[in-house]
Amino acid sequence: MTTAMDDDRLTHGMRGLVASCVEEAARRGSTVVEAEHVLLAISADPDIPACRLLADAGLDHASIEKALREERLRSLESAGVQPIDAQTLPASRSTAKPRWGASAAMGMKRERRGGGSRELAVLIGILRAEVGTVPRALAIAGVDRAGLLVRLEQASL
Amino acid sequence: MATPSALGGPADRLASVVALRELADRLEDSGVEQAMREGWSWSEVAEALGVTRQAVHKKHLKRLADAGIELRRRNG
Repeated sequence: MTTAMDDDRLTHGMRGLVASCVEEAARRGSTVVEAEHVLLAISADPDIPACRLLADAGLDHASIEKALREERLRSLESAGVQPIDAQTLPASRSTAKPRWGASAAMGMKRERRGGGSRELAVLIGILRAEVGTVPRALAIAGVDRAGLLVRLEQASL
Repeated sequence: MATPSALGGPADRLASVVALRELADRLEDSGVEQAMREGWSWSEVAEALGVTRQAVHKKHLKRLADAGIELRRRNG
């Protein structure tokens, strides 16, 4: 499920993050911005507190990418499918702006309600999901998501 | 009901659907581009994929045109 995201309704401080999320999705060849792209975008901006809190939990951009790769490998494996080297599947990048997927939109919606750092509120919204790509990747990486959420929520007070 | 686990059981089964869709999309993007570079028509690509010409056109035309690929117009 995808939804339109009206950028004009976003606060000024969020525009940079929104652009980074779209770039992360496009860079990974996705036509939809999902929660994992938001997580990657936050982890790539050392100027925001949310990024530093992720780093304290051992989650920098590279380690999140690695965890996401491992998640996809495990998921394909559970269907009995071997991964295909992306190098053997050359394709021109889509020039259309990616749409927003349900998992990312949910985190962004929370931003409009939350106080404190907006990026932190979005991150908390993303990490609250119990199932899906992000919680799977974090579980595979051995990250204590519940503990991380407690620390993020304390930081957002 | 207890909170569902992110790993194992139905979570793995459902995540495999997500991963397979992603893989299928990549295979389609790459395969359609390769076929069009080799001079296939939209109708031929659509027939090979088992979808309508309109569907394949809508999904891939802009990306391939923007990439500067010469698209065959004759016979659709």
